Amino acid sequence: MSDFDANEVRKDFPILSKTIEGNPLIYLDNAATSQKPSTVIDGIKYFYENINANPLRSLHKLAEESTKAYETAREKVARFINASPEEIIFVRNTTEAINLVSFSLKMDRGSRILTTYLEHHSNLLPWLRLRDKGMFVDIVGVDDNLELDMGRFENIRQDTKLVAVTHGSNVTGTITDVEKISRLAHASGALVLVDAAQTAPHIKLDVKKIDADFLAFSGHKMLGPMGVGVLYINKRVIPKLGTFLTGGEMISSVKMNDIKYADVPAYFEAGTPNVADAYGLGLAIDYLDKVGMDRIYAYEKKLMDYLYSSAASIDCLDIYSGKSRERGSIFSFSVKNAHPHDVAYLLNKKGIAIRSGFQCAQPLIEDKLHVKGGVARASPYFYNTYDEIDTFLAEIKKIGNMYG
Amino acid sequence: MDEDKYYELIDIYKNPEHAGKLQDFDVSEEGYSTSCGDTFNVYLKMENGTIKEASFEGNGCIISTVSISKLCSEVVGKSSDKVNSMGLEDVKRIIGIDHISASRVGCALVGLETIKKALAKYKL
Ligand SMILES: Cc1ncc(COP(=O)(O)O)c(C=O)c1O
Repeated sequence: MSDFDANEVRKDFPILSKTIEGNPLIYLDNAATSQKPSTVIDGIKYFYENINANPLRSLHKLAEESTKAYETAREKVARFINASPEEIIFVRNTTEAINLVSFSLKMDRGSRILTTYLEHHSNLLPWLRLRDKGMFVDIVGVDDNLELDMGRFENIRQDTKLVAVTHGSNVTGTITDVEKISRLAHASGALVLVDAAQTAPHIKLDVKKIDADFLAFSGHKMLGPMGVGVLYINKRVIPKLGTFLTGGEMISSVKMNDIKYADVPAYFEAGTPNVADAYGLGLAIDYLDKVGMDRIYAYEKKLMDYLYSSAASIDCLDIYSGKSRERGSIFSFSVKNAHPHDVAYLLNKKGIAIRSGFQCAQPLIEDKLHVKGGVARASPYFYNTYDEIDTFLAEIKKIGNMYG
Repeated sequence: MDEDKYYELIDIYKNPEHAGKLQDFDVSEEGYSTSCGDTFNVYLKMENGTIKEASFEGNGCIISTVSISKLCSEVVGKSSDKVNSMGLEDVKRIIGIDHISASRVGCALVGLETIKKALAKYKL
């Protein structure tokens, strides 16, 4: 594996040379959204200047090219996670992907859904909402090392229809053993949905190995534009799904008393799709492929080990992430006596962008991490450097001194 | 707000005035800031239709904590009409900050909103 140089790839991301409050931008909010390389930014402009037309409907040349651009993007996404193109549904984001499943999966009243304390609200609320329709939701807890209580998956109740679990927590950085969870869930007859929003950008995913029935992620967290996300649906579970949104593009024939629907993926993509952003996501995948997911993973692992080991000696820090066997590029922390919003504010004055608050995982933060006002979170990506980590920690120390 | 100003507020933040429940109060109210996720309780002692004494419990970010603490001095002697006419500009003046970013407005206003809610409850 050739050596990876973050300073080389940084040149491909125009925004990374910006200054904020007079300081060079240090962007450490990648778990919220990643930055975009020029190929993606320019590609979307290229699409609108050269390809734009409503795909699938019209017969003219541009419509044909637009259709081709859209379907090529689908093929790239499929290859990226080792799926077939017809298993890839384009949606807006992870949230929509999970909602799609929660609205269309056929379940009898009284069915159970098993999810976990590690979830982002977007893999929690779509299930909690189903309680209003007579479903039950069970929640798997986490232990002191921020690992899921795996015992809970060993004896899943027979009436559990779906296990919905995150692959990577956006708060604790825990990477879960989704292969094992899939195996256990299937053994008791439940389907499995994996929220891969925090892993698709960082780890090579293989849906065949994971053996999930559904897998969701957002384009915008993996160098793609905002507004396009992916839901993978394993072919074998299609019969268990009903309609989600209805309208144009998702039908094959409509008579007032007889509607014939199109096959998946069109079936789940009602209305004019977001072709430009799907095209942009395809370019983002080209970029990730060019750098190589293995190299990205290896570099980030070293960078995060460096961050955690440097942080260990800083007394003013409380660290809430990274205790699990495997951890993602997430560093959740607080500075003693300082509110996370104040930490984020003061770091911003130095050009450092982080997230503060409940990170869309309020039950996890309040009930399991026992933190009242939320946490601060730095989330690096492969274009972040060791120098940036040093600057970040140096500023944390200064803030700690002021509040100490 | 510049960084120096922020650090000036830290001293107030660490040791805010009017923290703690009043021994003798007429009305209390809980307030929640969705922007910082913090919860505060406000206690008011009333006299002749004006606020005689105010205090708060809870802590949050600098902006919410300092503004609620300073408001507890500011509202003394004021009627509910007077307090109800106050807004973000008044809070900014009271804490001495001329710019508050959109995402922190909730932090700045949680104190004032909670005092207003307490007054409304008292009137009922
Ligand atoms: C683990 C996890 N799931 C889901 C989401 C939701 O992603 P989106 O806002 O793109 O729908 C996020 C992003 O914040 C996340 O971190």
